[in-house]
Amino acid sequence: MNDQDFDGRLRALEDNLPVQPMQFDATMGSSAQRPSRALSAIGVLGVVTASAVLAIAAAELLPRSDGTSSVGLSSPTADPSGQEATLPVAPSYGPRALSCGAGIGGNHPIAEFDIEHASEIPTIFPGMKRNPDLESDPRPAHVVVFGEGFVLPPTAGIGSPPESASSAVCVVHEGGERVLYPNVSLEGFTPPQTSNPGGE
Amino acid sequence: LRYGVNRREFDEIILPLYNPLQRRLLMIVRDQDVAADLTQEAFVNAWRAWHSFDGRQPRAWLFQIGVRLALNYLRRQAVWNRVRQQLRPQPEVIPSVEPDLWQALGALRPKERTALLFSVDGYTYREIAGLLGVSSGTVGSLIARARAQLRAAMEMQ
Repeated sequence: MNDQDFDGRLRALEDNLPVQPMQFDATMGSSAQRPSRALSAIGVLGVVTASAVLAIAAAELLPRSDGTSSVGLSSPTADPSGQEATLPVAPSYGPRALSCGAGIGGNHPIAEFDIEHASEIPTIFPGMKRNPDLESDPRPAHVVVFGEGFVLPPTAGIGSPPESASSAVCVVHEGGERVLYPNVSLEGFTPPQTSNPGGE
Repeated sequence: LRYGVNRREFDEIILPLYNPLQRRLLMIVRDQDVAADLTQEAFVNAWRAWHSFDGRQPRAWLFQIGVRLALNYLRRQAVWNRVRQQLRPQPEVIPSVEPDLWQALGALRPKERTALLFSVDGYTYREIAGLLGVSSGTVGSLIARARAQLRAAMEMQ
């Protein structure tokens, strides 16, 4: 038996092996129904879910622009008309957008995109102040752009007052490192064609 | 702009590789449940790393993730498996096609099996070396040894 025959038999063997049904649900970015090995999946899902819950909770707790808070007002039965009100549907954000503050205080990304090198960012945002570190950063990055009225994510723990910025550019590197550039002028910025606002 | 930022691309390119990866991992680990678990773990990892995928050779990219998981699993389980098999033999996979060849493959070491399978796929020694974390020369030895052992085993049957 020569190598070619042998290789053909190996391929036939592999092609006819039984498989178990797919357990991966890409809509969640994780696997389901198989608890034995799903710890990493639970980790991913847990982080995403926890981030979403925290973001939504923060959005509920933070004062609105008119100084009011939505705490205690969004019960489904609180509608004075007596009709059951439906809960608002929270927009879904990817983990990187969430880490940049999406969902907090109504923050909604107007654009999201990946770039080969973070050093390209100043050319994409010609109105941005000069930043030597960024201009020389060769790492790939995911960029999340927020428009007017961006609320800075709290950094001093629960209870710290929210700060506002006119707009912001958030740069997320592989590995999760995040740098937020508040008050970036978006003048001259055109979202790239593959921009993916609000999702990943 | 980089490749692989949305789920539709992942669904179109990577999901069809689910069964091929599961079969390849079954060839390596030889346990149906473990192969299925490792496949889903590989897909979770692939989804997490999807933003970093450069769009080239998706099969090689995914299989590399899966094979590394499989070899790590086998390394971790090596001692434990020896004990466990003495207590309770694991259910044996009996393929409907080439059962003798399957049996003979079981006598090979995991890296020999893996190197042989990827050489049959047409991977270069250098690519297989990167996959296994060994030198190209070692890959040549692994493949030669695997073929010789399999040939000898098949001739005895």
